[in-house]
Amino acid sequence: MGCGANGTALENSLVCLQGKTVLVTGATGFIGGRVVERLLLEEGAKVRALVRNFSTASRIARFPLDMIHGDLTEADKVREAMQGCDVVFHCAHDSSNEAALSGDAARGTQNVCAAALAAGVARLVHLSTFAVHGATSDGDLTEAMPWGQANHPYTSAKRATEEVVVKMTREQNLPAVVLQPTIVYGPFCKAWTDKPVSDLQTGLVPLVDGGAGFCNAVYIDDLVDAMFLAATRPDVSGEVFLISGEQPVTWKQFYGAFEATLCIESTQVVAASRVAQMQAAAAREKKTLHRFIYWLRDPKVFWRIAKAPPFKLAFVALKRLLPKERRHQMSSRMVRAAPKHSPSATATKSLHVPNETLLALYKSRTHVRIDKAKRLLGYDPQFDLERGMQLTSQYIHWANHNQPHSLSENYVDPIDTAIYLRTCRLPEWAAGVRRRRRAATQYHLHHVGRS
Amino acid sequence: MGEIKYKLAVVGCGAIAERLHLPSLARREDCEIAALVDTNAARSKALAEQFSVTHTFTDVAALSDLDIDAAIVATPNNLHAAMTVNLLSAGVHVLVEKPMAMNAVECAQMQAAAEAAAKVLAVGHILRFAQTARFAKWAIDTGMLGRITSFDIRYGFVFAWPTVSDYLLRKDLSGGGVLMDLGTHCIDLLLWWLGDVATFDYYDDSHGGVEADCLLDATMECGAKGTVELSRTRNLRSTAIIRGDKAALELAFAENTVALRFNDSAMGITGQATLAGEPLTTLQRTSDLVIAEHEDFFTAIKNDRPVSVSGTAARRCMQLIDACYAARRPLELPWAAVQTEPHWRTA
Repeated sequence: MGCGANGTALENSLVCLQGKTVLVTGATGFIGGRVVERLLLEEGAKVRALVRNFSTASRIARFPLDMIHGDLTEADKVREAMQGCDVVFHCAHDSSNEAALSGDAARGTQNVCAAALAAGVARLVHLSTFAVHGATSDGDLTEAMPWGQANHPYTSAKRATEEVVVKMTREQNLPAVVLQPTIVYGPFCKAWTDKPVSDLQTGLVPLVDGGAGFCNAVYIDDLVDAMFLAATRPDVSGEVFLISGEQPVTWKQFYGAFEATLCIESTQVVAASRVAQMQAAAAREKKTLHRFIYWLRDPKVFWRIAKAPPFKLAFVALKRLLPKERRHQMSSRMVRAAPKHSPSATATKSLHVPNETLLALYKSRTHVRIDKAKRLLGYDPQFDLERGMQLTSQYIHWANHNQPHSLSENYVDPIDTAIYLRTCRLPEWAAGVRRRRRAATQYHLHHVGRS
Repeated sequence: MGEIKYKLAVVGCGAIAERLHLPSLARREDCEIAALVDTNAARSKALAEQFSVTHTFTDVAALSDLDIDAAIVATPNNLHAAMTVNLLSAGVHVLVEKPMAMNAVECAQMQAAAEAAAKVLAVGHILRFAQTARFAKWAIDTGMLGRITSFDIRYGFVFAWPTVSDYLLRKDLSGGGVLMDLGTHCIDLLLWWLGDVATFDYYDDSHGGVEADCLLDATMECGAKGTVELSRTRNLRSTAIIRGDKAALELAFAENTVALRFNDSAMGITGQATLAGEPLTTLQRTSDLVIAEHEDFFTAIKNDRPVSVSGTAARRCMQLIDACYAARRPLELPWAAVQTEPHWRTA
């Protein structure tokens, strides 16, 4: 820890983060959390975090840092948090569609930029995304290329926030740097680590056109390196940088790495045209009475609805209609955990049909170029997929899998609510229940009823 | 009936008072919630309105005018000891939330105050009232599992307690992280089931703040060896497994489920633990445990008998927690360690 080695520091430039007061927005998230961790463990910075919800702050609360309660849309809270700060890492983004539609995302960023300007911070690093480029064509993608078409609310919100930063940089000399990271994966990443894991475990992941599309993956620590460089390099204010790994990998390699970690095979080669058909079928279904059932097929949606108070009551009431022992099996955590790896579970896995945006990503042969970041920031990614996944696998095993076995691990629930929720083949499931009921009744008559 | 109605005060109006204590107390016929105390007047006023409480105060000293019989202390952990000692000295029976205090020294002061005032001091280790935990105690004590050889306790979920303030995440106010929080329950049960710890190793992931994950490897004086793993960042299986030389028992923390497997047989059984006179249920709601806890507290006051979780038991638990923090070693999280020689510094 220290800045001694950097003897060639330019005047009026930040050369290291040691002892600096650093504000991190979005610190309770995946990227912000790692930024905080490394600022404190490696850089010796003083960290301040603007926290909207303390319930999600366990990971950063491991460190002695200054947590300020507040929301980015509260301008006075942002100003208070910015007091005396040297550097700001603006990682927060509200991913909800409401935030995107209401413009809250851009308003929050506007507050951050205005406060940073007023407080006279030396550098603001704004975390954008390569998704702002919208639909990309095959071949190289650089920062200079014009943005393509996009209609996803996430993309529009990130575009709007990036535009706020760029505008204030141009018009008011805000010393900001914009980073556009690609597919960021690593410990605590929901989108590109936890989700691939749960997708592979709960269904089949499509390898569109053999999985030959390019996945521009970047390991979290490479991105954080880039962020620290962006915060400390002189003469880069106002610049925008794409940040990815050294080389893209294919989607087959990316999901293959997760399969290897989980010791399962759960991908399926699918032609893009077939996925399009499935999407169309799903869209048709959405227009019909099946819309609600289609929705419920997603276990996440199902549980969200089932756990909302009025629905929970209805769900509990419905559950009461089931025989007592079945009811118990449904609610038992120990039993529910069991069938994950049972042979019957793999037999009934269904394909996760990607939405349009994801399909475009799977098909794309875009190579995100990091030459500008290398040239101006001195960015030098250290993690190829193999090295990044070595650490990520350890996290995956630690985080939610391969726990020391429960006593009831080898017990397979006869109704197998988990499989039901995964595939939601309602008629088959109901038939299965009837079949099992019949079998149970016959068994009962045969073995118990006679005595 | 002409039964005595105890005048009760709730000190600390955070999430636990709102969600668990007040709803349970409001249903009791043998007590009247006379006052709510919280430094945040708006908060105590709002709850007073919701639960029809007459008095609200911002300072616990104001309670002296009300002639209170009993109090529930549900403040941030750093205030537990001072509040409890004050109340006990003023002749008030106290049920204090877990953890009992910031450390065992404070626990001893609280116990001394209770003894001097001859008042009831109960500590909110509610899992003691769970039928599963009682079943485990019975199964161990009767020798059903045989000689206990090992235990394996994992308790954790992605932290989502609707905390009103940040006190659980601040070491100066909470005294610690997940070990102080979920750990209090697990360690209390472990000591209750298996007796004292002989030797142990303790690891956590704190870097000067409060730990989110921790691991305790312990050998008990009875010879049993095992692990307690706790987490605020992961969903662990949240069960305890106790293995004896005859049988192994697993019990869940968040529901009424026990599984029993016999060593010399392929047979096993899964089901619910039941107590005579109580309904058979798979549910083990926290609210029911709090109701049982209040029942225990008021019965102890009425009948002058010991409470289920006394200051002595809670202090023993706190002594082990203190010892863990004192012997703390870093929990190895390979991905969190320094990965690269920062090339930009040497460039």
